[in-house]
Amino acid sequence: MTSLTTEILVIGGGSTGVGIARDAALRGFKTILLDRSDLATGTTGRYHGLLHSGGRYVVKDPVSAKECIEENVILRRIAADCIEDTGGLFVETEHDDPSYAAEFVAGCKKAGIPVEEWTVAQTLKREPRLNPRIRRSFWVPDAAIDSWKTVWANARDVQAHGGQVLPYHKIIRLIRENDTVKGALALNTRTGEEVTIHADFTLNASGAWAGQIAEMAGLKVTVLAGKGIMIAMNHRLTQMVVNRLKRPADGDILVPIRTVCVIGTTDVRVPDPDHWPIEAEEVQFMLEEGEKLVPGFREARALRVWGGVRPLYQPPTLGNVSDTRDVSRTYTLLDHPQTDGVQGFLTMTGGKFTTYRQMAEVAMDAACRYLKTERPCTTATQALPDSVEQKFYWLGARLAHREKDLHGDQLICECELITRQRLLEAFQQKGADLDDIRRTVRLGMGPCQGGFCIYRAAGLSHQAQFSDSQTTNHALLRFLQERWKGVQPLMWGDQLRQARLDDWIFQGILDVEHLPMNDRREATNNPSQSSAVHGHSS
Amino acid sequence: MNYDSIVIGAGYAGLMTAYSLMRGGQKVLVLAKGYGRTHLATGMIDVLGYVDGERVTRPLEAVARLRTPQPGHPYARLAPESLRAAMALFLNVMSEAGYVFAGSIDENLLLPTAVGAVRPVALVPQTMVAGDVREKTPLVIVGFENFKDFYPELIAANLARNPLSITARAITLSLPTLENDADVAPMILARAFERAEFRRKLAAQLKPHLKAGERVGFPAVLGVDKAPEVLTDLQTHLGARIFEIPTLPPSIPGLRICRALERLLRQGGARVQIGHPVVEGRVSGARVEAVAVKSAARLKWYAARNFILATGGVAAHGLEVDSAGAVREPLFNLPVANVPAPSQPRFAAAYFGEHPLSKIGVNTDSEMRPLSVDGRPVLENLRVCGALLAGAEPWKEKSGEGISLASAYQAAQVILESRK
Amino acid sequence: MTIEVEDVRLTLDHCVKCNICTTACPVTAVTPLFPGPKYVGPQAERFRGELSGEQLISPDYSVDYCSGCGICTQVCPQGVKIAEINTQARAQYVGGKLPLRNQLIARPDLLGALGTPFAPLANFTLGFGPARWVIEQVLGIHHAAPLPPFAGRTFQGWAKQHRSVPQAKLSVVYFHGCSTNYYEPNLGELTVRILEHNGCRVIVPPNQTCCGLPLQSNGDFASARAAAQKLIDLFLPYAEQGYEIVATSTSCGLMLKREYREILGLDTPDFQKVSARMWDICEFLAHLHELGELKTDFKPIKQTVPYHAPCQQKAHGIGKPALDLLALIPEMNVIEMTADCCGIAGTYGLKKEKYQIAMDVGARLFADVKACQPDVAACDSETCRWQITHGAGVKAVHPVQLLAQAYGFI
Repeated sequence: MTSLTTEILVIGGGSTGVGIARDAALRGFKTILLDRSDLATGTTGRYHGLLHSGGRYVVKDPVSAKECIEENVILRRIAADCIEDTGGLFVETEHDDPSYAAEFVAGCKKAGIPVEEWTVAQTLKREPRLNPRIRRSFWVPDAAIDSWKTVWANARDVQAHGGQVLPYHKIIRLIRENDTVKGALALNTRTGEEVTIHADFTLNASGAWAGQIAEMAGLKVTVLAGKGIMIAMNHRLTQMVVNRLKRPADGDILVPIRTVCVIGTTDVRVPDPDHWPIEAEEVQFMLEEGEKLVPGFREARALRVWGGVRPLYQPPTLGNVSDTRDVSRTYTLLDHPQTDGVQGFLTMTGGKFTTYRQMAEVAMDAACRYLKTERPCTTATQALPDSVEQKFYWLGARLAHREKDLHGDQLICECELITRQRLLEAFQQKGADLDDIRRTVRLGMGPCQGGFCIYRAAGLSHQAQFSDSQTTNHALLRFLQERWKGVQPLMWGDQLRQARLDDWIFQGILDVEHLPMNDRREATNNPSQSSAVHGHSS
Repeated sequence: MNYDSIVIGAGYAGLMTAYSLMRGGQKVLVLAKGYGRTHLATGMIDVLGYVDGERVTRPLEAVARLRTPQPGHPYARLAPESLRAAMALFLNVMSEAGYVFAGSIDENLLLPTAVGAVRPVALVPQTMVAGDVREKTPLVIVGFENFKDFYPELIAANLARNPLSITARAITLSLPTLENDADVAPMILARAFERAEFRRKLAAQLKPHLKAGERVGFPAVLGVDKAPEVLTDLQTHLGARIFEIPTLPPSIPGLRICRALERLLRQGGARVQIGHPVVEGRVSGARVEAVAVKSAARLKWYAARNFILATGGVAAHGLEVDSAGAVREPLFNLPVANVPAPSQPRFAAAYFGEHPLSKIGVNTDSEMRPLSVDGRPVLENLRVCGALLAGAEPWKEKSGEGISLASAYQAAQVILESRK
Repeated sequence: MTIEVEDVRLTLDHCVKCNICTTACPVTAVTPLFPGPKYVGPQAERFRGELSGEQLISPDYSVDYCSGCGICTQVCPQGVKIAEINTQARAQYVGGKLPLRNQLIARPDLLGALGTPFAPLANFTLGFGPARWVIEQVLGIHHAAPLPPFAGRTFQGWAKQHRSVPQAKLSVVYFHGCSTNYYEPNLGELTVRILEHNGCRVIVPPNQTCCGLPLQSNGDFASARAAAQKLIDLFLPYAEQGYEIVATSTSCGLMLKREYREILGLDTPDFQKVSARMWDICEFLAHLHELGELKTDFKPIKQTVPYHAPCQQKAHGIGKPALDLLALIPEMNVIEMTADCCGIAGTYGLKKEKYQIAMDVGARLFADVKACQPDVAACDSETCRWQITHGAGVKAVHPVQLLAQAYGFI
């Protein structure tokens, strides 16, 4: 049993959580951050990567729109290397109401969002795959942002300023003495060890799970889980973000992010943020909506489908919500000392990735008030590690890097150009869980979805002694099962052909099913285990 | 050019059907979109490895026992003699090509895989036979720093944990003559093995580390066209028996088989045209009259008396599934069997579970003609063989080559006999 | 009837990473400078922005080592248009700006027009060692690269004087190409004669300019498109009148059949009409033979002839009709070469930095040709013929030249 003492304890390692932790650390607070799993495995790591200009919200949710553009400008300044400046378009297809355009432009202007109308010819020249029947087109400063990279940059900055980042620590209970929250008891799920953290102030940034954490402090907080699915397409069908020019609904955004483009999303209320299905109808619906933006979308290759749950705070005054889209996308600070009489505890919930930094600032400003200290926030001006030079990410970066030395290092993951060196560094940082590695460096996220690189990565992990054979075998089989969840709803066309080749590799050639496993049960993939902590595909 | 038979597809089934027909005196044309399963599998010949998760020791017997519990399996539908005759033919053909195989369909060998599992297999090239783990001599697995498709430490560790009490250890070497390349491709490595100087240097590096009596396992890159020579030479230099272990595609041993068959076909007067995708068939009544290749500016039609469809399963367009889930055989619109009903699941949630969609394919009669849903042949002069056949999960049960060769044999026999 | 052409870049979706293409690539086999067709094609393409209205920077130079032979596309079981993706990627990498050397060698019609009036001097220079060293230093054309001698006259000059058969059952248009015009006019004359012998009236449209293939291969798509348009405009009226168009340069024929549409993205009805009428000469003669309309009055030629099908011929997807035709010549011992590529790949093997790669690629073919102890080698592409002669020391002719010989025209 370990005991730690800190000033600020942050629960939740998504964008909100790491944002708050960084903000605290930069203000000179001793800070500890906990997440029950790897960082960014909640909503943050499961969205499409759109850095909102705010254009999406100008008509329906102007408060949110204004927040987005403010933070869009700031993030470009402090997180440049996580951002690809793709620009974005709002296009009016033949299915859209022509009267929306005027509202849209007026809304942009009101919110301070730069907007410029392009001619259809100009638009199609720039994006030749777009629906040729579009009627109007508007440019806005949407961009693509790598959420994992951003989260990890924030986390590294926390560590650089003396803070601690502790993934795989599940909160067992909050320590509440009378009316004050004084920290938490957590379980290190990797080692089985219990850790007590004594904190002056605890911030609940656990997103869709915020209600569950708040309950541990005896508080009732209702956070609805709005599930949304997304499909990654094998290559970028457009180079800019493309939105439908209409009131926000499902499947109306196409985001080019790294080597893929992502169509999203849906919004279905689910009772449990950890367990929910991906329905075949949802997948078909995404394809149909994609077809409206890019003719031939159905024939393009769909790589993987996954989902995330949005945290939608439902204040006690709001009645029963039927359509979660009607809940505002702005964020809410729950000031528990004030509203509930519980000291030392704040919940920051709702919101979106684009506004994480502002959410963190608001939360820490409140914490400072309660801690009776005036420390200004510097996160809006201080660049994240690796973003100091303010150079945006560009698509060709990995390829250009590889070209510098074609023979000095091995490509372990060829699809995503990940070298042996890079992979060994990742093993060093994160241990040998191949799924964690996948999130960090994109191992197995290309077209073959690990068909070739997972064998290599497993072999390398063992060879470099990051895992023994037992652990390696389990990691390999677990990866195959996780991958299956994300590709199984897409078994047609090219991806089915790929899956079949991968079957031939893993079963026909390697016969992984007959690896020596000490525990036979684990080898044959107990279905209940496959819907483990998260229960959804990623 | 008048052809007796046109074979569509250049995998195991396509090439062996073409070979049999050629030997039977026919003028044969092989049309293929590209290379097939030969390049993507192990380069060994599976007959049957597992039934209901249990390892098979005697494959021919196990095949015979399949007939009752799995009447829809290709082995159950083929003539019993076809498998035996097909395997005997294959062994002869490979001998003729100078690439000798070992093993028998009566008893499976047990060979290590590139991840250190142990898998049953029936026929293997001489370059692999010394790896049989039923023999208790210790193994040393050799990998190379700059070859990323093979991890000897993992193989040895997993072999050592196998209930069969296998003694195995690992060595990693750097590659002579290729020191400056951290990322050597399999074909480059295989060609390097064909150079005497490379072998000499490699042996000099390795030999001091070997223990007496050890069998030495390499990744399956022991040469392309000169594998037998590489095997003999290295064994002499090392003073040890060596074997190769199939690893990730591209399969060098499989490539050897394909090249050997292509060579024999060409020498025998058959035509093999790779890069010639067949896109259409012309049918009159119940007969196929001609097939069309999508050539650069037009369709080019080829006529023949017999047509053999060996286009494989879903792996490379032999069967197509579109984004709405519709399944079809794209060339002749043949009826596809075992397609789950729209309301029924196609896949299990567990990756290693039972997936109903895996067994889709075309059913045939004893003349290898495709059948309609009510069991009547739909085309008289079209034979279907290979992975396109319904009823099996060859990657799981380790039966791919056996099904391809046996069905190819039967298709060719039926055609040759029909001329009489 | 127009063949459907799949969008080249979209075919990258079909890649399952099997690396069959890499095993077949003749360039990867001989040099570490080319990481392989899968890497440079469908894999790297995901990291490049699409070449559209905006000029994008391509992040990779290794694509320039692709020779464009197209063997990868032929062996791919999934239908990825790998070589075509590479050609488009090279254009992106080059950004439309060619170095002087490439601009010159990509314009054989210009070089031909300049060199022909001064043929003796030009040929002397091109054959003179020291001069070639200077050219190598200044321009980057390898001193030993097989540059063909100018004929000193043009095929067009001959064609203008020639009156074809007025009463003929079939009229065909002859697309002679730059090489026939400036370097091998004799081949053109024999071709006309063969066609006329087989009952065709041969029309040789004047002012045939370059098809643009070397411009395309070197990455100057704008100029290639302009060249394409010009040639299509010239042939369109004939195509519309229903005349077939035959080409003796198999690579130029492939350009007009397919590469205009697939690689340059020119897919208008005009292009489609011309492409639908386009034939490789051996393809056309073999077709006549299938219809029973080819005169087979061939005299015996007792010769050993290794036949090499150029990569660009294989890409036509028509089998090897030259073999079918040569088989009609009594006593001729035709040996089909199995080595894939001679290495020259159009202008690729002329370049200083690629010459040795080209020679290494062709080494097996040269050895196989020599091993036949041949009288003459046959090959449908002019640049390949020059390379085979250079590498194997054996005279090389177009297959129709052997037909002409068997007909008794020479």
